[in-house]
Amino acid sequence: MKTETRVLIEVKDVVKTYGDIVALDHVNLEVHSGEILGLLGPNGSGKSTLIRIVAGLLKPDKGEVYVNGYNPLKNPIEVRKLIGYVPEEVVLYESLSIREFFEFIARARGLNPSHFKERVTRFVEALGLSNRLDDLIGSLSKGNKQKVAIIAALLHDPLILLLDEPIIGLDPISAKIFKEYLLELRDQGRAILFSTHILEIAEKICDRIAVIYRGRIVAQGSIEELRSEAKTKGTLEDVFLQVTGKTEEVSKIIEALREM
Amino acid sequence: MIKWQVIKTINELLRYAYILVRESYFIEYRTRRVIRKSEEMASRVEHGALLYMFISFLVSIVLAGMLGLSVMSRRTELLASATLSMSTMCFIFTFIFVSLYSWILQEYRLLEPLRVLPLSEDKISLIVSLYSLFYVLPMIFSPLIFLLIVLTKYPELLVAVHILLGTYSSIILSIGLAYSLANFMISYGKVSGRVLKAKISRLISVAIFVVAMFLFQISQGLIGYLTKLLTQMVETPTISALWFVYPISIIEGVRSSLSDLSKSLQLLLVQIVYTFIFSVFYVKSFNKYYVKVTTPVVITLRYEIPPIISPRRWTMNKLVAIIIKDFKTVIREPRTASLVFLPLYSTAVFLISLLSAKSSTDPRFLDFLFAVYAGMLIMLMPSVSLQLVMSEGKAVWFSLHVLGKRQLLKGKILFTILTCATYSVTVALAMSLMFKTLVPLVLAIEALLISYAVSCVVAKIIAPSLTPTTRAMPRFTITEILMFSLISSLMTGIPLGAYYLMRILSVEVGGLLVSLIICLLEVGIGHSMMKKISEGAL
Repeated sequence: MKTETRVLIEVKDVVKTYGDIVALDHVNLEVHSGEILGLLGPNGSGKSTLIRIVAGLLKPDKGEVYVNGYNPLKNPIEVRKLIGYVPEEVVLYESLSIREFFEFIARARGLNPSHFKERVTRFVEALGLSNRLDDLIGSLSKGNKQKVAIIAALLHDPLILLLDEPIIGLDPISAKIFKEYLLELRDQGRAILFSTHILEIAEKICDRIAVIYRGRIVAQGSIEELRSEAKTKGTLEDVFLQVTGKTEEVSKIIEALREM
Repeated sequence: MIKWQVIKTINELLRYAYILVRESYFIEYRTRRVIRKSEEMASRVEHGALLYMFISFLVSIVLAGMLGLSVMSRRTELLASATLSMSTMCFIFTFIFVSLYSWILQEYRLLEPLRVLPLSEDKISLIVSLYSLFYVLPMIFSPLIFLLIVLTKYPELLVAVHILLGTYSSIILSIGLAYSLANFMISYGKVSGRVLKAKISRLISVAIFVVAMFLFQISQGLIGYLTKLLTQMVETPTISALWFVYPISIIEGVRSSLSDLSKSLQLLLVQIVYTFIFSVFYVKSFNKYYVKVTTPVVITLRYEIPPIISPRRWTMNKLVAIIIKDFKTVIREPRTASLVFLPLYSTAVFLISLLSAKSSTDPRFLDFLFAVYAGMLIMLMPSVSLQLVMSEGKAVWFSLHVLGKRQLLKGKILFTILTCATYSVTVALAMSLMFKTLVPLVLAIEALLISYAVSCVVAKIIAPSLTPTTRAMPRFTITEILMFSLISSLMTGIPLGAYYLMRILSVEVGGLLVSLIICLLEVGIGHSMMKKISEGAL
């Protein structure tokens, strides 16, 4: 039985340019409660820009964004209370220990201390950071920093998650645990905007996929809908190449490399 | 209830600001030292920033005290120049600190974790303000200390007001300018690697970082020199004619407070106007800075494909590859730059001493200074080249994989010698022209040759401890350090000793020639030792 969903992220006709480069070109999309929307696209296609705009960290040149009905630019505090954000390039305070960093986040978000303790304990155990709590973040590996960023984004139990390439750097066990947890959050009714360029991950956990290429959403829908739109029965990779018009170009490049 | 809420908010903001301060200190500290253990790191950062600022505070107080005491037993003109020196000191220190740390704040995107938290823009802006003001703290009290000492000799209200307005307006102007510079760097620093403004901004940011590293160490000599220079300036008629122009208005204000009441009051008004203008400038610069620092710079891929240019044939050499790569790193990466400019900083300290002693005509004193100059270069250059190997950090495995140990060490040594040559030879040439003698120039060239030789010998000794996993300078035993010092002293002492001995015997040109030949022989020895270093990675 499918429960009723509501739109938690709404992006309406958003345009963003950097000088003469159009980073986002009239982008429209919606993410509903209980849904993981995968934002799929090559590097530099506009995924991070779009997520930053939704998080209220960038101002669009044109168009509107609503997060649970709030405009991130007009109601930034309400939006920040609702979202958990993991940026593509994680910036953490490296002079703090993991424990100090989580305490800092908890204070800034005004979390209940016992609730905080319970969540931190569960997350650090799940992602294998229990024995590193007092280590400075500056001494951690890239993967462990990524785990800290993920936990920091989840600490306040957000309604909406904005995840910009969150799996990159995670070890296979942590990646598996995290993906399974995302599915659980989805089932609890959270909305998740998940950017990736790893097709297998998108295929496995996303309910719908929006293919973004050169700042434009070139296709959007469930994997089956995308396959039918691309007129292929192949993998998501084939679908992606088809909708971005790259199938022939890729074949030529491979051929040129073979001849080298 | 409201009062309690205000105190709570201030406490909260201070806590966030201190996290940023601590983080900046950590970043800056890590660029100077290689820290291996997490516990060591934790203990360093715990109170490091506070300790650093406390030491800075003490230094500024000592300098203020020194300037204050300098007006005690001399003529009244010295009060004006000391006040200007005090304002200049406040200006320079504040500028360096605020521009350095505002640069760090944006470069390392320290606001990003705060920006996703439910904090209002007003609060974040206040946090940024408090963060910057933390770096002004060491300078806040030094004008007061200076004033207190001055008041014991000149207990005049107008003198006090002029001193306070002059110094604090300089601090305000300095913060405004520091933010403007940061704005410039944010605007152009990351736009594109090929834009000239971006290149200039990178150079400026690296230069600021390097200067800030050494400012406190050279400050004492600098302030002494400035006081001397300003004392001479104050006495010129041109300066008096521009009485209303900042910063001359500070000199004239203080001076007229003791002799001409109406002019002093006019200047008081002028100073108030300046303070107001500087405050407006400060607020505007800060607002611009805040907008820029909270707008992330997103580097997007250009859709057009840039042309691929083949490297020039003469650059297709392993040593040239290291030199070109290190040159690019130096102008872009502050840590490497501060290493390479270490001998330059020593040269600056030397120059300041030399300028202060310019009137000294004692040839023995000048000889001593030239020898110290050459000695400093020889002492520092080998360590710079070794530090440069370590600054490769995690990339050292790659360099060793592609180049081999000998090539890597040789490339670093040559790069250090070449970059140091650019400024040491220039400085030596200037000194040769100033003192009308070839000695500084020849000694600088000899210093470069000896440095190369010493570096090669030291490289041979440390080469076994350098592996693809090396992350920090090897820890040497006292015996090894003594051995390095002995080698370095011998290789420096023989040629320089020969020169000074022949000079005593009045054979100056012959002495220079003999010492140059010895240096070349040492280069040969160093070169042959370098050849014995493994060409592999282990």
